[in-house]
Amino acid sequence: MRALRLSLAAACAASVACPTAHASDFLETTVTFVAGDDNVFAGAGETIPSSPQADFRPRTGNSLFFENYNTRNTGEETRGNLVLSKEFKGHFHRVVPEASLVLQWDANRTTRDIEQFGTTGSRKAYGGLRDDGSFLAVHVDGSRDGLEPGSKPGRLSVVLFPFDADRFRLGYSWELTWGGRSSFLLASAAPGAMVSYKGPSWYAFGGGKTARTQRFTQSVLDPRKDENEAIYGALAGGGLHFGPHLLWEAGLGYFEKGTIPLDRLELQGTWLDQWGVSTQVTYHDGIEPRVPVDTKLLRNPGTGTLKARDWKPRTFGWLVSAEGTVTSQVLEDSDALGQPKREAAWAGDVNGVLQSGRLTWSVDLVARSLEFLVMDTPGASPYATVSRELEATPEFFADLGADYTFPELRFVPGIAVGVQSPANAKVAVRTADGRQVSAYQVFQKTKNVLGETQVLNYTLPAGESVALVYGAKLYLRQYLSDLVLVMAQAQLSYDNNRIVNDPSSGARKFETPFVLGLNLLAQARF
Amino acid sequence: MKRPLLLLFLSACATVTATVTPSKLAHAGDFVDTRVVFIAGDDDFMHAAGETVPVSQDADIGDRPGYTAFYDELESSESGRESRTTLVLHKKADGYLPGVTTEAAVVLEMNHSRILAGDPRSIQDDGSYIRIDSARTTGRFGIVLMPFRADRLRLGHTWEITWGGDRVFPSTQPVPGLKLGWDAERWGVYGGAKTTRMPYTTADDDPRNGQLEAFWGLFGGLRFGREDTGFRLDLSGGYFDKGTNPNGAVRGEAVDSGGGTVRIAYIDGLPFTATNDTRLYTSDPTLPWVSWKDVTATTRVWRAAVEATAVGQVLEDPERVGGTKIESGLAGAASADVRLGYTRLSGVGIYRDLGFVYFNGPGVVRRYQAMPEDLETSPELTASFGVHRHLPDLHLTPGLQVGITQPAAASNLVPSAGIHAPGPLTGRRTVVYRRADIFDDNGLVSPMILPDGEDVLPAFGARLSAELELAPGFAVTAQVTVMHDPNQAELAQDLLQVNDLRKYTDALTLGAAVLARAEF
Repeated sequence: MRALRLSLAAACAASVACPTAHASDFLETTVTFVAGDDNVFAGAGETIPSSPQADFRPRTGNSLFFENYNTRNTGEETRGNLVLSKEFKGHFHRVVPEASLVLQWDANRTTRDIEQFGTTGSRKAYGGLRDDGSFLAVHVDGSRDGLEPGSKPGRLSVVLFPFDADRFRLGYSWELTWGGRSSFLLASAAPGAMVSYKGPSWYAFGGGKTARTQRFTQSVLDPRKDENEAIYGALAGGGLHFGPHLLWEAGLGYFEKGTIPLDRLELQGTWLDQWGVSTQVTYHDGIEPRVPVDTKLLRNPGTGTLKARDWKPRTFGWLVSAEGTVTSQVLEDSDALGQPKREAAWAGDVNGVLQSGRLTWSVDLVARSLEFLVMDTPGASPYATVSRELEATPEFFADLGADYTFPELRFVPGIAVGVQSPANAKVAVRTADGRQVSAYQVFQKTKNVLGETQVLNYTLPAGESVALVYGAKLYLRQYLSDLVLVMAQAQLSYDNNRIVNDPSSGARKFETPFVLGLNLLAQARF
Repeated sequence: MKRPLLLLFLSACATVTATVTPSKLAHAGDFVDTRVVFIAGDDDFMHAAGETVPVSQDADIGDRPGYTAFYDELESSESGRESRTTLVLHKKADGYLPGVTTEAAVVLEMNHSRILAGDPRSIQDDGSYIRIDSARTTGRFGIVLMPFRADRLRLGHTWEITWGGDRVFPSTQPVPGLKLGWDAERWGVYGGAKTTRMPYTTADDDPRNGQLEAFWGLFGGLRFGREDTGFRLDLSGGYFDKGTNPNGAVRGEAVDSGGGTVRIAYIDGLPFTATNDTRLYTSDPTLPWVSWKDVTATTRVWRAAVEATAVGQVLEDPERVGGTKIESGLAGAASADVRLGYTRLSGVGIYRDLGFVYFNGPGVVRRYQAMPEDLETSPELTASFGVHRHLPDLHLTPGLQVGITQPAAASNLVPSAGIHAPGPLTGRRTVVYRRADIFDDNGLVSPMILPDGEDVLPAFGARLSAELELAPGFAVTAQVTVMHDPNQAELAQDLLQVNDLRKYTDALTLGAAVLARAEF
């Protein structure tokens, strides 16, 4: 009886304590503390990128080339999204208006802005705030007549993004998506509108985006010269289920990118545009296909409750998807300066997930052409195509990961390994002693904790070819609650393409190919 | 014995749970007055980017200054196209003394549109306050203390000619303030003060020279008549110390300013309510949404008001070296709103001379200097009339807004430069002063120079709109705007491509837009 009373008392205490948890307007809040060193073998300035001694800051080098493939994040973010949502009770039958104001605050961006303010005196500090997909929507639900209980009617939606429609994209795996904000040159935001229909077995969407970008032209009489002018993008697509397991999706888009700003003969002012198609086939059994969380609309249900991790053993399920994208854009012809030329780019991947009980496996096979990697720059050399004199090689990488859950310990260890053949361009050069050798320029895409992507390129010493890159990561996740986890990570990579400039001779030389990174991470998500 | 105890314990737990749980459900949220606006269109289909001021791009999504016409924002500081929210941390508690209520709120405005533009005003205090209220049998005595920004405490009523806000002091800092008032049923009185810090400039050997010094403003007013019905007379006035004059010959002279406002109003069922610009925020998520919900076919309500303001300030006299003079300014407004069933009629007329337009400057031609005597000025005259008819079955409200304005202008006299005067000295030049929020929302005034020898002319505008209310708080509006403004000029080169000259641009503009607006 005493035990019963104690448990009742505990239940009462819990029921009293719960209501004090305020239904926050901030969603997807992540607080991350990172401690470690992304390269214990090197100090600051010894490698590119530089690796300072161990400290308490996020680092780009803490992620291997195959990580964070399906998200824009690095996993080390500290940010929150203020989401003010409301679903209105409409005047008209089955018409549901909805609105959401989404403001993202990023602590690392705030720190960067404050640092810039401190070093340059820049008064234009944004305080780490930006729109992250505010929208207004009007939904029209289909009739429920004749529907089976529990099934949803079709829904026609008009979704309007007043500020930025970066979440409205083409492509499927995040790293292969395109048509976001970066598809417009020199544009800080790209608002948009989308019309979509989602039925039980198929969906379709179509929409447009606009951006304002500086207009460059050779004509001194053109009043639009150097003014901000509107440019447009259009995108559409859909998906169709063939039975319960097979899903086929496709999308296509056309984007005006703006004008070439460089003073290159008569080409300054040439309109750049881009079109492309993406498609994906997914076979799934026991696992529902998921879209990247960064493309979802943010809504605030107002419950403020924590999303508890499900510790039950998972039922057997697997999913395989294969995706392909082809795009083409107009750039300056590197082999005929002053002439525009259309350059094609392509990318594709195969992703697999298998879960059974406590074990989860994942595999990715990814290929991206050099032109695809640099399509938002745009061009391997800005605004120019890859020259015919260069022999371009696409990027290929493969990774395999596995984690095992110990539910009683709330402990999840995992391991991932990968191999990469970086994208590169080969050119024949003649050395000082008259020998004809090949020189390789290597391209690698990275992203940082601010959500900014960058394509690093560097040239290997003449005569040296591009080597495969190997990486492995071991991580140990200990969940302390539904809120907080701590994680220890060790990563080892072998990259024999890493070079530095010799300060005495100025020549490029190889640095140590082994990179060992160790870090500890504590993270709260709510 | 054990069972009743257990039942008692369980019921106590249930009571505690029931007591606490509803407070969670009743939580209204700390963010109030949230608005999200989507707008797509073109403010001027007839011109491309670079051909007009402000720039009009091809049709796209996003707000642009050109959507604001001269008849907009006359009775509010906002265009309605801003996306923003207000964080209000509010608490109210009964005082220890009988009848006393205490209240406090931290109010932070987050303007989403400005955040996107990197505007430093994206997040700012929007009227945090502490309020002490004492209810008596014959009225209420109240004190409002605003520790950061008292821009909501203003003189005047029609927003466009209110004065005494933050910008009355020629400083960029927010201005704190306080207000004490007594409100009875048929009369009321209030008084208040504001302070700011500005550089103290003086020609004397004074340790304060160049230092930040405190400057004060004092204001007060009287109300005769009920607040919500019948005749009402409002009298108010204020004195604001704008610091010392920094101009060379009069350096250190005090820039005193002051003025008074009188308003006569009649209210019949349609009381004047505090707008978002002047009300104090509480945690009550009051919808600013103008709804037709309470309107019936037999509704007959109206209100009308006439308001006049005279201001004056001591500035440098340009005709007398080392002298100062009082530059006066006048403003007036007449407004009327009528609801006849589902028809809403509204009209407003505004008068402002340059002395009032540049009261906050201070000074028209040069800061802290009065206008020279040989400057010919003409006041701004604006009139606007709107009619909206609600169709309740369709939840549709078509509307028409028309307006005419003649912007304030200043012209120099033809100088006497001799019989062989060089060309640049023989022309008469007119400068037109418009509200700058037509170009930008910085609250300043934008001058535009007309071609030589030309005078300011009236501008006309009209807007046809149709608002479909999908839900209370959510509407989609389509609008077409036409404007004829013959005072638009640009700088161009002459035929020889040698000299710059001003020429008129097209006076006619045609724009259209679709807006979706949600407020909650």
